[in-house]
Amino acid sequence: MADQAATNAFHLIERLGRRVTEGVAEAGYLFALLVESLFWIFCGAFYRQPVRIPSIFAQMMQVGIAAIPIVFVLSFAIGVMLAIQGIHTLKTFGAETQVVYGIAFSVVREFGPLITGILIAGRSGSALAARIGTMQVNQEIDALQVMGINPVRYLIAPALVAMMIMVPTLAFFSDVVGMLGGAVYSNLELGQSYDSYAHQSLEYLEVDDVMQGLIKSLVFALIIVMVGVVNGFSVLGGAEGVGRATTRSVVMAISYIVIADMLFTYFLNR
Amino acid sequence: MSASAHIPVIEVENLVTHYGSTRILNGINLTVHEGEIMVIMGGSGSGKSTLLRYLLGLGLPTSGSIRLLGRDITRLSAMELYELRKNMGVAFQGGALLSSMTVGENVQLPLVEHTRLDRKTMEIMARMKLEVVNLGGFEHLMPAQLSGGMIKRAAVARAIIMDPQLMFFDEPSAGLDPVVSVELDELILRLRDAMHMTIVVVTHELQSAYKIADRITVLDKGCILMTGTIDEVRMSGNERIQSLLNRKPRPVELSAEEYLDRLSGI
Repeated sequence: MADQAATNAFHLIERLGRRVTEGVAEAGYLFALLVESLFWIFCGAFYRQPVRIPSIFAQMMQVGIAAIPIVFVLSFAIGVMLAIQGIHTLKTFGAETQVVYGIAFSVVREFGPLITGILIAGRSGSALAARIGTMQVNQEIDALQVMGINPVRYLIAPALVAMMIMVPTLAFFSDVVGMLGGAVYSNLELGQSYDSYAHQSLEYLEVDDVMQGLIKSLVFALIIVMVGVVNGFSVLGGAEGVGRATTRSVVMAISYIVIADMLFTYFLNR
Repeated sequence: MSASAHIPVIEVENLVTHYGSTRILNGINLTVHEGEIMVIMGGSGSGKSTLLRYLLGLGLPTSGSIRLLGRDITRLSAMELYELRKNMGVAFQGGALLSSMTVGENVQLPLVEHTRLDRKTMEIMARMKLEVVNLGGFEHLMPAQLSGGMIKRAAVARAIIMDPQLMFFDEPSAGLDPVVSVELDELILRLRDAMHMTIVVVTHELQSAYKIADRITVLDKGCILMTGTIDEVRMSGNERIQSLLNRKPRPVELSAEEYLDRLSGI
């Protein structure tokens, strides 16, 4: 019995050790890919292998422009929800007109960047993992390498630049739409004019509040790309492997985004 | 073979590779001369595809050296290797065309990445190469709209767009009907004769090997059994080579007891 318990404990420690080793290896791989991507972005031109501007624009279209409708819908809904909850809560104190401040701060500092990050992780991060995974399975990555085309420069660097531009842009768009949602509900529920709502919002919001959200969204963009890429390049096997990598990429990216958001909120508001 | 046949283009010396703790290639020595078509043959799991991967610089061997066009690729930096690869073309087994691009864009890709030619010139060059592989007029199609044989030919067009000195084919006839297979064999011969390429073909198709090979290397269990002309290989007294050529299955090397033990997991 004691032997069995010792064996189980040994296996548990062994599994834990293996997981830790794999995690460290994956983090190292992610960091190496990030450094290589940055090298190509900033130094590629000196080696006559620049990151192609058309590739960046194509990625920006996929990541950003195509996501505008869904970002609009979700951000608007979040703004309306915040208004409903805020008015309901503040009614207790007879201060429902103060809901504007709550919505403005919540949307700009938290919900705008967070909802954008989660949405892009589910939409574009998974697509990136699936694309690279499928290319890995179909030997397209090998084909790029033997054509003398570095896959990191060709695939990751444009996606990274596009995300770093489009995620903060979408987060800002989400901020505006979220506040619009709150304004529409406040107008219907409290009869508050759009002019007064906008005036109140701008009165209390500072540039730092907006910047806080945008800096967060930059970090989210980095997380989405690197998690998608690492999972894509790690694909083994066929379609099943691609599916696993895609799912893992979405779960990991959203988890990291939420944790990073919590850390940011803690350190930026102390 | 051409007159310049004795200039070595590929020189592999004592190549040893591992996958995890398993040894895959075990002391491979191989030389391919300029303008030669070398066919690498062997059964499944013999290590021929692994050898190809290392010849392409897609892995770092445990030991040994691989000299391509006079340079040891095991000692080159990533940048130097990328430069060297501009002189190499590869047609992968499944074609490996980028599925998000049209056939024409796929063929033009090396030009887009490595040259400063204008768009029109690149389009014309891509059309020319597609004509070479009998795919003229297909440049606007997506890879998913092509048949298996057409995908392989499009991959060849992409591989030769930079006029490489060295060309590799991985199982060019696999999964193709006999007519298309013969067409591809003739294309490989044309590339050697008209474009003076040195060509390495990995295959297990005997008919194809007999048709195109200047020399054949036979691999088994990660070792080279022999390298020689078609006649030398055919006349070989090696039992394993003869069983490969005559399509005889490998004899069962387990006793009945060992086989039963393996089944029951003992």
